[in-house]
Amino acid sequence: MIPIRGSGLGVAPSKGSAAIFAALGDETRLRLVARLCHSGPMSITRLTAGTDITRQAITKHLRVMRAAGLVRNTRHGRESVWRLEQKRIETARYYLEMISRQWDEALERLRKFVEG
Amino acid sequence: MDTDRIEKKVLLKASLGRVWRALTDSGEFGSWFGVRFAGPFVVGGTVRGVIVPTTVNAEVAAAQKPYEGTAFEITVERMEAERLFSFPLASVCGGAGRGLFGGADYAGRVCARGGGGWGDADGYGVRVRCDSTGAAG
Repeated sequence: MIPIRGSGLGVAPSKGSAAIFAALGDETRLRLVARLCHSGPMSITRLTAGTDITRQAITKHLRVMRAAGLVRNTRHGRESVWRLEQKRIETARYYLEMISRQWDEALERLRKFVEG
Repeated sequence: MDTDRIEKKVLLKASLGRVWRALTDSGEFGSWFGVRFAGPFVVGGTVRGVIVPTTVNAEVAAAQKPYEGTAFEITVERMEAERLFSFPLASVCGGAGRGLFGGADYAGRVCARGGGGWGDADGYGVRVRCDSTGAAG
């Protein structure tokens, strides 16, 4: 059921994509990505507003994602403004699409196998 | 953004027993997938194998040829009779098979789950899910 490289596009994952997926493997972090994606760069104060997650927790999540290269922050006075690293997000999406296609192929083989 | 999971559903025109065997009999799984395993799938057990070109699709078989003989392993996590078969991706990727996968770094698990109300008398539905949260949903 798992896509294997030999079965599809023959593209190896880049070094560091493990970090991307580990960083995204958390509901809170995915929500942060979604918010930054829809609303653009924002401060931790704004990211925390309207959630029941503490500022400390959000900061921790952002740091994990920063380590994976998914987000970066710039200082504006006393506040840090966080934004998505669009290229890394696209890389993640690219791998997901690749895996997705390989799944389609694997399931097609399963179909042939059981229906044949 | 849908970066947290890949989910596929397929309705197979075959009996439940037939589909279950194709998934959980390591020999049958290997035939369509393209692996030869050294032993059967057992819950909690790790089965080692090597890549052999699939017998189901000539084009895919040709693509797999360069990888023939490459080590590959799966640790079976759950096997609930004709209902759920799952193995964490990490068990494959962390072992000898690492690097073989397009998504080698995609943590999560593969679940094949049947029925669920969308299979019908003409076939058997299988849902496979590759999930970054690792939940065996």
